[in-house]
Amino acid sequence: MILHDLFDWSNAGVGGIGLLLTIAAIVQATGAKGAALRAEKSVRRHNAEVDFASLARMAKELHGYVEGGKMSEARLRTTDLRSDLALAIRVHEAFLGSQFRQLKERQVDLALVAEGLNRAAGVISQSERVRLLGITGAILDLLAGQCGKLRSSVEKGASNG
Amino acid sequence: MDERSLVFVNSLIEKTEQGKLSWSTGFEDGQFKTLLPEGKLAFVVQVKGDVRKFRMLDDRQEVILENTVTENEAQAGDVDLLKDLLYDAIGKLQGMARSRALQVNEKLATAEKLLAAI
Repeated sequence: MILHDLFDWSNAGVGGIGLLLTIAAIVQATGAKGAALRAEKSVRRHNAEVDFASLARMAKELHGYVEGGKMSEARLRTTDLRSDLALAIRVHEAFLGSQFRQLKERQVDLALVAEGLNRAAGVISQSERVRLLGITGAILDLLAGQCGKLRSSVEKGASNG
Repeated sequence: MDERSLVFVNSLIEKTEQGKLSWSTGFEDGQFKTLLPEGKLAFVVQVKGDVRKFRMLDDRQEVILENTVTENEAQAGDVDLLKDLLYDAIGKLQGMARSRALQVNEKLATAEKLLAAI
């Protein structure tokens, strides 16, 4: 295209400005979408942290009941923890990373503990009690660790954002 | 059900012999478990007194397959040969699982070394 006169030049100028404004709007919209996605992820991560903090509290209670020999309370807490952990793993799977397999293994442990405690009606052998303490302690460590990881990444995200 | 369980138990024995499966202790006495990758399935094997038990659990810990064989049922092998085979296979698998979970061989080797050094 050859520009002949002032009219052509002004038309071209207006077109150029329009193009620049369109590009600026697209860049702004893309940035806003990215920010919205980051905010959504941050909220989901925060929700995961809250859920795992609650699970860690539950695991601490369960460990306390086992330590205190309160098997009937431990049995009830095991059932609660089992169902809440299953839900949390399903909902927050994207944030669990390498811990996913360990959490699945602990789910199996909880299933075996729930079944064993229900069958034994609170009467368990000394070696089973030792194993139960090991299992509940390991679950507490894992859930508290997961909660700490999520909290740290939420804080990092907040300081970056 | 016995036949399917026997196939799975024998397959687990083979994979354990090849060192492809890691086992850990369960909760009850004589109980051991292993998880397949991604935790999609878990197998639990148990020997308690004269009762031998094998179970397969899915990723929600629902029981997919379960077999319990007592010594008496196994001894009546003329009636049901599968029960006899399953009883032996579960016993063998549980022995191997126990050895892996408790690292029996490694601990025996350490004990031999320590005793030799005294």
